[in-house]
Amino acid sequence: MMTDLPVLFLLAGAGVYLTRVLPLLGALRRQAEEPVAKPEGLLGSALRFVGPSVIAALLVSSVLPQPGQGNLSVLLTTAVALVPTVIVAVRFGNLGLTVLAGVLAYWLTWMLI
Amino acid sequence: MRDRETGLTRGLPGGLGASVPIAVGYLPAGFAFGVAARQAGLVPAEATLMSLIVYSGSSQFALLSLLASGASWAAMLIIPLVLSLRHLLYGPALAPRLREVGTWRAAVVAFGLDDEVFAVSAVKMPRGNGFGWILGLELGAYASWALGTLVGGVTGAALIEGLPSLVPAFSFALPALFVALLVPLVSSPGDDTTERGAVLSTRSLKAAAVASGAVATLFGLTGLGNWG
Repeated sequence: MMTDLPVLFLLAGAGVYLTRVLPLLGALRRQAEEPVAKPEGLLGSALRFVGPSVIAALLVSSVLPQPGQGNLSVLLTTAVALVPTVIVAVRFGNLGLTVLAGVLAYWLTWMLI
Repeated sequence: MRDRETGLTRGLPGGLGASVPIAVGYLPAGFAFGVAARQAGLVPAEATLMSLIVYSGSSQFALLSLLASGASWAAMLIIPLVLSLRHLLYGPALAPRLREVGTWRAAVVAFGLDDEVFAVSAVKMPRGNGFGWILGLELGAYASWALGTLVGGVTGAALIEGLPSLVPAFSFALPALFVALLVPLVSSPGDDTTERGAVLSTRSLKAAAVASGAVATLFGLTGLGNWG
């Protein structure tokens, strides 16, 4: 075992952690300094878009293969499995059920293709 | 203190339950990292330690690649940091739901605030039990990521070769999770009614989601997907 690996992990982890903790603490401090909750300003309104935007971007990046790394059967399996996944999500609106349906659909499609 | 303790105990089980879909996706993803780490020359303990300390999939895979190529320490510290810059938005976006959380508890919450935890929290976090709930969510996600890494590091590619359809199937859990989170946001009836400083049109949210998806598609097709 490289003796300096734990040090590397700690330093790299600290960098990742700072990107998460500093903005959160800053935002909470700004909120605490307001004696009463103010009506949502421009920044607050803009931050509401972060959730849907991040989710959409994560969905696309999780299904798109990297150039040169995907193949047609993987793309086809993903596309086919997405259909029942979306249907279950729309019909039931349940996180666990949708994930289960998606995994099952992918597995069945993989076996058939 | 009593209110906080009540909030913690009330929220924690709900958060753990909400983490199950994430855990289903993190187990194979962590497994894949464990296998990759083993192939890169790390022993299972080292791979698991990285997952426990760094706890960021994209940064960990990048770090692994840099380690294997003999990159400089500067590169190994800067590149994971750059890959994590999208996390700068997560805390401010969730802050309104964490008003009652003190500094130390917020610091704890921040450690586990990765993409999937943020995505679920942005949609599902209840008001009032915020700290306990998100702590439960993060514990479930964190444990599954670490466990997946350990299993991958120990078994290597043997499990993939033995069950070739299982790992890809479970890897689809995260895309399915994102579908489950996105559908309610884009399928609700459009509402252009606004009040001063209050209501946000769902059509604007849909437009934001479509725009982000389009940009992510463009990045993905041009090979810049890792930049998130």
